[in-house]
Amino acid sequence: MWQGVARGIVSGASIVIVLAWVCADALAQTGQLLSFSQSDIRRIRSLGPWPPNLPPDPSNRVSGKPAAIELGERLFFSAALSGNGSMHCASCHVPARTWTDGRARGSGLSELDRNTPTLENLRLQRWYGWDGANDTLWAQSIRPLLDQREMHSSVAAVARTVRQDAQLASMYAKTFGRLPGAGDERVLVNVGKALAAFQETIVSARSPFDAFRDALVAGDLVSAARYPEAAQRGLTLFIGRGNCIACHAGPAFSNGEFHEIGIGYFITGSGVDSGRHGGIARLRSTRLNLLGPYNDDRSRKAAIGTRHLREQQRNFGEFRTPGLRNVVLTAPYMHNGSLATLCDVVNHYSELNEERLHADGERILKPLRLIADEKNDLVAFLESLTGVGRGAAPAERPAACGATVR
Amino acid sequence: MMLCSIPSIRNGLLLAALALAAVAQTADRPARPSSPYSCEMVGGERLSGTQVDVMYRVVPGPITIGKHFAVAMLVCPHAGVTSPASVTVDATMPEHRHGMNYKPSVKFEYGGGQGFRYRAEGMMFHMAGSWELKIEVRAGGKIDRLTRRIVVE
Ligand code: HEC
Ligand code: HEC
Ligand SMILES: [Cu+2]
Repeated sequence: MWQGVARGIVSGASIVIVLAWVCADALAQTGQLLSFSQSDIRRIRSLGPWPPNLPPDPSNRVSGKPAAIELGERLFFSAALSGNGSMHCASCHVPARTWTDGRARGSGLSELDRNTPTLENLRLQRWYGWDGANDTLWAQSIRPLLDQREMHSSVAAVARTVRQDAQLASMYAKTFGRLPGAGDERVLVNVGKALAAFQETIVSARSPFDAFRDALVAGDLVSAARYPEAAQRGLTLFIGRGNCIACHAGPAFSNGEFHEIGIGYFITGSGVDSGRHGGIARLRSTRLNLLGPYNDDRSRKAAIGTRHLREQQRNFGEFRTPGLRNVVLTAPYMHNGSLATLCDVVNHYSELNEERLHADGERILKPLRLIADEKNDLVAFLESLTGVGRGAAPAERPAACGATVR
Repeated sequence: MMLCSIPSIRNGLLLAALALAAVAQTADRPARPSSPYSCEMVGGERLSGTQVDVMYRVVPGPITIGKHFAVAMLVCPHAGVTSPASVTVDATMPEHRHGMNYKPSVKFEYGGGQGFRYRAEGMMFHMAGSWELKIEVRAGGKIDRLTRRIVVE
């Protein structure tokens, strides 16, 4: 222990850190709290705080407004918005399933090529969709209305529905200050903005990890020690040797940008999913982007990313880094739903086939060659990102990850 | 008793280290070429080339992962070098073999006795780790390629 004190002083660290260090060492002997270095603590700190403080979206003048949130919720569950009156947003983004559908790939009026993502914590993203084809939540919310494989409606039909449904029209007037006008596109965009206002309120609950993070940062080591040891070991891998935090960064566990991690991108029957490459092209071609006429922020400050986008060869097959909060509740995984469980995901990173990575892509990932215990630790950590009050993990809770395949 | 003496040892070591660092710095830095410009920027860092010196500052600093930032620059041609013809800014993560997902735009702001002010908008470091900032200035018919390693956590 005296050795610990001396070490602390010589390194010039503050008293708090010295105590934290000493106590962490001491508690580690009782087998409850592993020792985390100062740089570990800095990294762990960067994964919070939670819930985050979210300002309204400047591109959407009704963001955060109660009337808009109410209208958005109503629209979200309204089948009248779909072409044949059979589907609403919640048909695929099922609230009780953490706003996903539990399927590998979405299925609307016909089959989709991509997995249905959760709608939690979207305000923290910069790009929307697996390929980031939209730069606002409101534009992204319009896409499924018009996509013929999803709700298959049209600009005119959506506007007509809002005008003709007395209740929708009056909620619209309360939100936007006037009844839906004659311009169909304007009405459609406002529907998107109300849908966005509602979805922005969907935020994951605090998790055991958040309690641990706050305790560690505050130097409350007794509380920190309540975090399961397996999760602590998994966290150590996540921020250390596994380097997961390089991409799964920040409070939502996503850097909001695009990477290729060796998930195939062939689509049955119809060629390839070009990922970010096609996403950039679609983003640039729509007048619903932040450079277009519907951005409510005159300063155009939020458009800085859209204005400076750089198209690159490596964008082909890149997808947006998903957030990891409540991840155990949103199986199956990846843009094409090709991995069924978190064990499958961890196995993927462990046994990664480097030849499958783009030849001219990034050099970040290396096969981690984890042993079975390490895989279970990493899964225990990912499970600890589950919001408290979300009940136990789902029925198909992954079994132990088993023996390492050699 | 042993412990009590440690802080003084520490202080001694610290002073020695500081002195060494100071020596290393003066030894490393090339003699500053004479320049008709004052080339001063509050909180700026200096990069020296063969044709120009560049003072730069990150705005807002320090860099946050995944957040856009700008680079304010003051380009100061050395004595006898004409005014800069162009300035470009970029960055890569050499160990990861990738660059930024954004292509910054550089704007000339104004020139005066201090030097020539430019500003690069649209920069973003989207991962933690070691980045290389590159500022290229074309002046006097030559190109100065100035680089600086920046580690973000
Ligand atoms: C047929 C199933 C289906 C329906 C219906 C549906 N979605 Fe989706 N949703 C998806 C799929 C699949 C994706 C992924 C699309 C992509 O990346 O290209 C997605 C993506 C999204 C995203 C992007 C999330 C992110 O992480 O970037 C938002 C927001 C969204 N949907 C909102 C809505 C809204 C609002 C509605 C109703 C107007 C709706 N969705 C209707 C399947 C559906
Ligand atoms: C190079 C950036 C990068 C690194 C490093 C990285 N990931 Fe990912 N991760 C991604 C991307 C991108 C996807 C989505 C890929 C796709 O769908 O094709 C993803 C998907 C996932 C998913 C599935 C989430 C979902 O909702 O579908 C999990 C879980 C995950 N990663 C965990 C990890 C863990 C654990 C590590 C460390 C061992 C890690 N990641 C390292 C970028 C990264
Ligand atoms: Cu990198």
